[in-house]
Amino acid sequence: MAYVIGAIILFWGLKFFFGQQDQSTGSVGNPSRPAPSRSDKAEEMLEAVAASMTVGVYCALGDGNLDNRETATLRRWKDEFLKKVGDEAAPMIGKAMEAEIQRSLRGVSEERLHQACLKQKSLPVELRSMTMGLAFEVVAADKKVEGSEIASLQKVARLLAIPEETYKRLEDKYLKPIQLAAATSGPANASEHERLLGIDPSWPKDRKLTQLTSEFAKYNARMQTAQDDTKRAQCRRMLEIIADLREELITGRKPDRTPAPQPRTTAGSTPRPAPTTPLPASSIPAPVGSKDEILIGVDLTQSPRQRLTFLETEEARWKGRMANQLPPAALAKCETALQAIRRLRNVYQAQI
Amino acid sequence: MTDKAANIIGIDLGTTTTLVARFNEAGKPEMTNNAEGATITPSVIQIDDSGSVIVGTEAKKFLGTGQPNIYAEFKREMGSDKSWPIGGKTVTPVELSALLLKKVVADYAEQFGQPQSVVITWPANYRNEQREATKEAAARAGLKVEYYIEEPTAAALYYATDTALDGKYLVYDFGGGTFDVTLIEAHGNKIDVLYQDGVQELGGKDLDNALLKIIGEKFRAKTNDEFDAVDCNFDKLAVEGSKHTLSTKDKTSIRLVSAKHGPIVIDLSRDEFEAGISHLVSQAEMACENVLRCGKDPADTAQHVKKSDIKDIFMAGGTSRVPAMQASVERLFGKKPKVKNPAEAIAMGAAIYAAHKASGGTLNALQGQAVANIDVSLIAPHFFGTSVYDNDSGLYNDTVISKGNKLPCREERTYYTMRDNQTKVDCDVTQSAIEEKNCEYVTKIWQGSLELPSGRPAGQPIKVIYSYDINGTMHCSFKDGENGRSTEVNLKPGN
Repeated sequence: MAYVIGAIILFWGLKFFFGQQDQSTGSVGNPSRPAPSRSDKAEEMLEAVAASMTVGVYCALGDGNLDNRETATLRRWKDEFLKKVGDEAAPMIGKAMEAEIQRSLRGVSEERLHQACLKQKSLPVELRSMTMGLAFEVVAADKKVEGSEIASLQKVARLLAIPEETYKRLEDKYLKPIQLAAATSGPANASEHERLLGIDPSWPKDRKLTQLTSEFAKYNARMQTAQDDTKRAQCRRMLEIIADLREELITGRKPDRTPAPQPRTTAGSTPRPAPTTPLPASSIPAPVGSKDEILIGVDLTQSPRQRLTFLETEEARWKGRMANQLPPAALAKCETALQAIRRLRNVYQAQI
Repeated sequence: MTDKAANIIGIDLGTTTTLVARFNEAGKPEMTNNAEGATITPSVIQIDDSGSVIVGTEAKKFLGTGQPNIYAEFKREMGSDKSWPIGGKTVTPVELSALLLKKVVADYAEQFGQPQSVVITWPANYRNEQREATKEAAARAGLKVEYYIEEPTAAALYYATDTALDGKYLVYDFGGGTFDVTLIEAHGNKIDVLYQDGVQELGGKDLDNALLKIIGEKFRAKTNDEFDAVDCNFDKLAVEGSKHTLSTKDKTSIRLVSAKHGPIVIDLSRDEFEAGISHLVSQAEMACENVLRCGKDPADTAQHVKKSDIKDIFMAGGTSRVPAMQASVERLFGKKPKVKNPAEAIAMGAAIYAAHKASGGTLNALQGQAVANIDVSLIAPHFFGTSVYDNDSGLYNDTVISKGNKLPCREERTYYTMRDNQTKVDCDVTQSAIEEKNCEYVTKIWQGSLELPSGRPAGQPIKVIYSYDINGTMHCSFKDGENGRSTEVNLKPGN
């Protein structure tokens, strides 16, 4: 049965338990075997919630060590969680979570992980999914994903009985961007791209092509819904990777998409003139204008009309670069430049 | 029927060009000329400092010359919050589209009088907010547009009335800024749209950019310097010109005069151009393959339309003239595509649709006969859903109207409140191009809430009712199943 989302969904239960536990009076049950009291239930729930920290540390240790970024992610997640449970319950849960972190830092055995997950299984799937989200977050914190970490995640998902769709959603959110960045930062590596797109290298060509078409539909749809430029650029890159893989599969030829060469810096080059004449402060909102002008290399001795012309060329140049297979850092640089060009254009048009 | 012919037009409001066709006295669609005597009006606008507006060919001449306040390709920004500053004010894509519509309709009215009925086209993969923005542009242009039609469907209608059709066909519409592909089943003048797909950021302008990249690489190889279009006085029109030449010839040469490096000749071959655009062609091919799946499970091939079931492929849109596009379609389907009036087919189809919709007393006898047997069945262009929660899946997007549902359609779902004494339900309307459970990958086109009376136990039914009419207008309501109170959704821009 599906439910329309209420105003308070996830944390209402926790608040109820931890906020009013002293009022509990026990429940009616079998007289020979008393039902657990409200306090016992609250204690069990507290342990179950705190066990999320053990799971988080276990996954962070998946690559063999726990670095600062992983620890920071764990604590940030804990703080955000506590904010949601409300002032009354937060100190108690926070204390239990911190104790769990301290115990886990000495190492999490397989047995402890199993116990932690068993405790968590008494929680609703929504809270277990949050723990799974924490596991993904800590694994992604160092911007690297190793096979051993993926194995840890899969094990945790199995133990927590996380629905496959939830696992895929979290994988998409936390791991895919890292895998995409890794796959596109170096020279094109078809087998890495295939793995990223869920293709088994042993599959026959037709099956690979079918999968590519499905992945194309997915990223094409996501490009339409992506709200920010970075996500759109990422989807656009995926479409290009998919198109290139398909071409390679069909023709047997590797498409030549070498990144656009950078402006030369060797002898004989003519560097753009450095900004020399500052524009009236009132006409350019400082400091954005000047910073953007330096980034784009605008000649400030030129009139606003001339600068607009220059911006158009620069825009075509940066957009042209974006059409190449660029590493994420270079792609981000292109995005930054294009945003700066848009801001400057607004400024110059207002000046004319 | 009347003795006097109805004055009816269809407008193909394109990313790079806009065309107007009329449904003439003899009941045939025909292209009309603008004030400059051309059938094609470039979708380019210049607004000068005094606020005077130049639309079309004259404005396009200034593209890439450094003239300020030249606006092109604003169709891609429709539905966004983008605006451009101009003389202390701003101008939006909707306002620019309105200026363009005003100009082409005024030019038409000069020759044929004010049209009684107007149909405007939009891309098949246009999102809801883009469709609403187009309606707003038409209203701002002072046009009373009762009907809109998707570009490939309009082209299909033109081909259906021009050629005897009987079976399944594909309309491949590669325009200046968008690519759409639509699967139809047509028997005579009865057309059923079966499914549609497209790539929103794929059009002739992307081919131009790919060509510009090749030119830049060759320039660098010759000069060891970055290509600077301004330095070489090489503008967008020149890129388009080279593209057109390579569509008819195997090679061409571009003579650049660089202020820094002097005269430079760049030789370009069609092979180089085709290699440079192969990833774009491949994207169009995958969209074609996806449309044949009709939104069904990729593994369930029995539910897909087979390539061999497609009787013909009609190519519309100016970019369809590029030989690589035609070769790609032939390679994919194993048959030569039909390329007939690719640039005009959409406007002419829109004029036919306008006549079809206007029938009932306003048409003359010949016009009436021409559209008497037309029957067009449209589909929902996207998946529309709402975010819900259940214990097994957590929060997910649940589809209410599926892409491909025949229009008009109405769907109702019942969900339930989650807890006792719940006094509010958060509601949203989502949109996506594929069936998507993950709430992160859908667009929320509306968000609001429904107030509920207090004191009721969990499990109260909440009815979610969506309907979508043939004109791309969606109506939604979230209704308390117990007391009938509802929240009606207004999906107009800004709401």
